[in-house]
Amino acid sequence: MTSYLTSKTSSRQFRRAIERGIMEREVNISSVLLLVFLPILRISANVEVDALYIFKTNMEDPNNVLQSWDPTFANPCTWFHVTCNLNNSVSRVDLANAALSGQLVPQLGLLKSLLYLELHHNNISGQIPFELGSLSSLVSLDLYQNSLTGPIPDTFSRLSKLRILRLNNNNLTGVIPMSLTNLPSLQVLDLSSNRLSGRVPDNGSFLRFTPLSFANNLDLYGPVAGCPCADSLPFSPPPPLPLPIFSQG
Amino acid sequence: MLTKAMLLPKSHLSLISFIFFLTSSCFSPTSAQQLKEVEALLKWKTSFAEQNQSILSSWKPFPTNTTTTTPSPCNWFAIFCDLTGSVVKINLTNAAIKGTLDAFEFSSFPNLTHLDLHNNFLYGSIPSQISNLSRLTLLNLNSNQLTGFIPREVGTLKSLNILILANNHLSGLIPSTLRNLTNLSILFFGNNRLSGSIPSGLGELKSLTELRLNLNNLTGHIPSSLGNLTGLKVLSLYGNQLSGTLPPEINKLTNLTLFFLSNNSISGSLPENICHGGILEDFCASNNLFTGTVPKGLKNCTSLTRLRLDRNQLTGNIHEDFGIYPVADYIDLSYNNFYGKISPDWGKCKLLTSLKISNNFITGNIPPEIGDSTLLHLLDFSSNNLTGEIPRELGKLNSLFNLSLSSNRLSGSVPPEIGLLLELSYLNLADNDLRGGIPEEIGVCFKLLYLNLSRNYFTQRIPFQIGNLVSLQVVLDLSRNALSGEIPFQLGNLVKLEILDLSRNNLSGSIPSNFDKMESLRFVDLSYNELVGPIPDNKALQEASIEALRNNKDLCGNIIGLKNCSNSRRNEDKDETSTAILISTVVLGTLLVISVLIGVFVSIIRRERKPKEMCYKNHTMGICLPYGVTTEN
Repeated sequence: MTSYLTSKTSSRQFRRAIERGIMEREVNISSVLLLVFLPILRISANVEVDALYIFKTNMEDPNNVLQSWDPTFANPCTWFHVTCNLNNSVSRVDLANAALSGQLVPQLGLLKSLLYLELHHNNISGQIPFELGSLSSLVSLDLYQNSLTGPIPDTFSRLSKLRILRLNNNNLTGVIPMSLTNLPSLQVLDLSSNRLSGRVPDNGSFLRFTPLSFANNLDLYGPVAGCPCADSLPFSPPPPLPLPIFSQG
Repeated sequence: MLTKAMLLPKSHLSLISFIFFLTSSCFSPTSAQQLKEVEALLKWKTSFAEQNQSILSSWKPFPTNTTTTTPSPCNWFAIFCDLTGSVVKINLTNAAIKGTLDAFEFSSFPNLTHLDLHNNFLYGSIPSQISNLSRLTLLNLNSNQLTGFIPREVGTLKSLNILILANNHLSGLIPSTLRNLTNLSILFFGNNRLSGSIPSGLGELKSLTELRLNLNNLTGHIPSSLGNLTGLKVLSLYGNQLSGTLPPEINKLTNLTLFFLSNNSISGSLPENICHGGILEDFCASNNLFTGTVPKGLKNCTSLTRLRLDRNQLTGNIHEDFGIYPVADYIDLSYNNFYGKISPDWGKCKLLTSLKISNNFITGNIPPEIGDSTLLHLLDFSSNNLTGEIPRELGKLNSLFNLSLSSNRLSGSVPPEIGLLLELSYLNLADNDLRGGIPEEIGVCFKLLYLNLSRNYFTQRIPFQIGNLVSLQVVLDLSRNALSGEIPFQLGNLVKLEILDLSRNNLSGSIPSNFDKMESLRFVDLSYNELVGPIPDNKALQEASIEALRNNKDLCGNIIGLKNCSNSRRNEDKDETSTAILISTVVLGTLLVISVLIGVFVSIIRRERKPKEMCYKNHTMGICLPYGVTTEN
C-alpha cells in the first residue's frame, strides 16, 4: 500500500488512478478492464464523464483530438470538442473529420441533454448501438461517411426531437425501420450510399423526402426509392465534404 | 523439550513455555478462527440480494466429512490470507455485488487489514461494528450506494492508512472522532451528501497527504487547523457550499500539488504564499467570491499545469501579476475585474492549449507573440477593451479550433492569415471596429461550424468563398455591417446551416433562388438591406415573419407584410407597362433569333474548340471552385 504514498509515476496518472480506486494499474490496462466490465464500471461521479470516456477508450485517435478528455474532471465541459449547456450537461459532441477509428459504445445513449452528435467523416466501424435511441434531446445525428455496418436501429423512432438524420456513405444493411416515419420533426434524411434493402416508407414524415435520400443502396424499392440518380448532383443530401483542399505543410 | 527445560532456571522455563504457547497458536491456527472466517463470509454471501454470482462460485461450504483439511477461505476469489491462514485482505471489487454490510460479521475478522469493496452495488449503511476491524489499514467502499451516516466508530480504527468512502449517498456530518486517525494518509469522502462543516479535528491528522471532500453539501468556514496538515499534497473541497474566507494558515500548506476550491461561496483573498513549495500543479478556485489580487506566489509558480480563477471578483494588472508557465496547459482567468495589457510572455508558455481571459477590463493590443504558443487550441479574449489589429501571427496557431475576440475595440482588417487556421471550427469576431473586406481566405477553413462577424464595419461584397464552408452549421452571422453587392449564390451550398443572419447591411439584388437547397435552415434574417425579388422556395424563408424580411427594397412573396410577387406590377400603371413589355419582348425575341442563327453559323464554320472549364472540380461531388482561389498554405 506504500504505492499510494510514494509512487511518483506522472502525477496526473497517479491522480486518475486514485480517483478510480484502481491503484496499481496503468491507464492502458484499465482500458481493457473497462471493456470487460462495460455495463457496470463507474469511473467518476459524473455519468457523462464516464460515458464519453468509455467512448474515448474505444477509439483510435491518431491526431489526439481526445487528448483533453480527462476522466478525473468533475464534468466534461472543458474537454475540447464537447459543448455543455447552462446546466453543465453535454449538448454537442463535434468530432467530424477527426481521423477516428474504432466502434461506437452504448454508453453514448446516456447523454440525456445531447442535441448534436457530429461524428461524420471518420473511419468508425461496427454497428450503431441501439442505445442511441435513448438520446431524448437529440436534434441532429450525423454519422455519415464512416464504415458503420449492421442495421439502422429501430429505436431511432424514439428520437422525438430529431430533425436531421444523416447515415449516408456507410455499409449499413437491413431495412429502413418503418417506425422512423413517426418522427414528428424529421426534416433532413440521408440514407444514400449504403447497402439497405426493402421497402422505402412513403408515409408520415417520409413524405417530404426525395429519391436522393435513398440512392445507391442494395435493394430498396417503392415509389420514393425512384430514380437511378447516377449522374445528377444531389440537391437534398449535402455533398460529402471534400478531403482537405490544401494539405498542411 | 520439557525435560531440557527442567534443567533451566525457573524464569527461563516460564518464558519458554510462554513462547511455546504463543508460537503454537500462531503457527497452527485454531480451526475455530478459520471456521469463523469461513462462516462469516458464507453468511455474508447468502445475504446478498442476488445470488447468481458466478464470480463467487469459489465461496462455498466445505463438505462436512473432511477430516484431513481444515476449511480455509484462502483460495477463494478475492480473499487473501497471511501465513497463519487467517484472512487479512478482502478485495471484492467491480463484482456487481448487490447487498448490504449488515450481515457482515466484522468481529470474525480480527486480522483483516484490507477491506476493499469498491465499485459494487452495496446499499444500506456502514455498521458501527466496523470498529471490530482493529487492524484495518485500508477501507475502500468507493462507488457503491451506501446511505446513512459515517459511523463515529470509524474513528477507533487507529491503524487506518487509507479511508475511501467516495461516490456513495452518505449523509450527515463528518464525525469529529476521525481526529484520532493519526496514521491516516488518504481520506476520500467526495461525491456524497455530507453536510455540516468540516470538523477542525481533521487538522490533527498529521499523516494526511490527500483530503478530498469535494461534491458534498458542506457548509461553514474552512477550519484554520487544516493549516497544520503540512504534509498535504491534495486538498479538494470543490462543489460544496463553503463560505467565509480562507484562513491564512492555509499558506502553510507548501506541499500542495492539487488545490481545488471551485464552486463554493468563499470570499476574501487567495492565499498569498500559494505555490511556495514550488510544486503546485493544479489550482482551481473558480466560481467563488474571491476578491483582491492574484497571490504573489502564483507569479513564479513554474510548476503550474492548470489554473482556473474564472468567475470571481479578482483584480490587478495581469501584465504584472502573472509570469511564465512553461508546463501550463489550461489557464482561465475569465469573468473577473483584471485590467492591464496581455503580456507577450503567454507566448512562452509552449504547452498552453487553452487561454481564456474573457469578460475582464483588459486593454492594449493582442501581442503577436501569442502566435508562438503553437499548441493553443482555444483562445478567448472576448468582452474586454482590446484595441489595435488582429495580429497576423495568430495564423501560426495551426491547432486553434476556437477563436473568440468578440466585444472588444479591435480595428483594422481581418488578416488573410486566418486561412491558415485549418482546424478552426468556432470563429467569433463580432462587435468590434473591424473594417475592410471579409478575407476570402476564410473559405478554406473547412471545419468551421460557427462564423460570427456581425456588428463591425465590414464593407465590399460577401466573399463567395464562404459558400465553400459546407460544414457551417450553427450560425453564419454577418449582420450589422456595411456589406454591399449581391448575396453570392454559393451560399446555397451551406446545406447544414441552421441560422443565417445577413440583416442590416447594404446587400442588393435578389435572394439567390438556390437557397431552396439550404434544407437545415431554421432561422433567417435578411431585414434592413436593399434586396429585391421573390423569396425562394425555402422552408425557413417561407415561414419567416415579416420582421426577418422588412426594410428591403422590393422583396415579394407569400408572407404577411410582403407584397405578392404577381401583384407587384399591378401597383403601377398597367396599360403603359404591359405595352412596354410587349414591345420589348418582340424586339428581344427578334434579336435572340438573329443571334442564335449567327451562333450556329459561326460554330459550323469554326469547328468549335472544347469549351474552357470554368471550374476546377477536384472534389468528389463536383463543387465548383472558380479560378482565383489561392492555394498557398
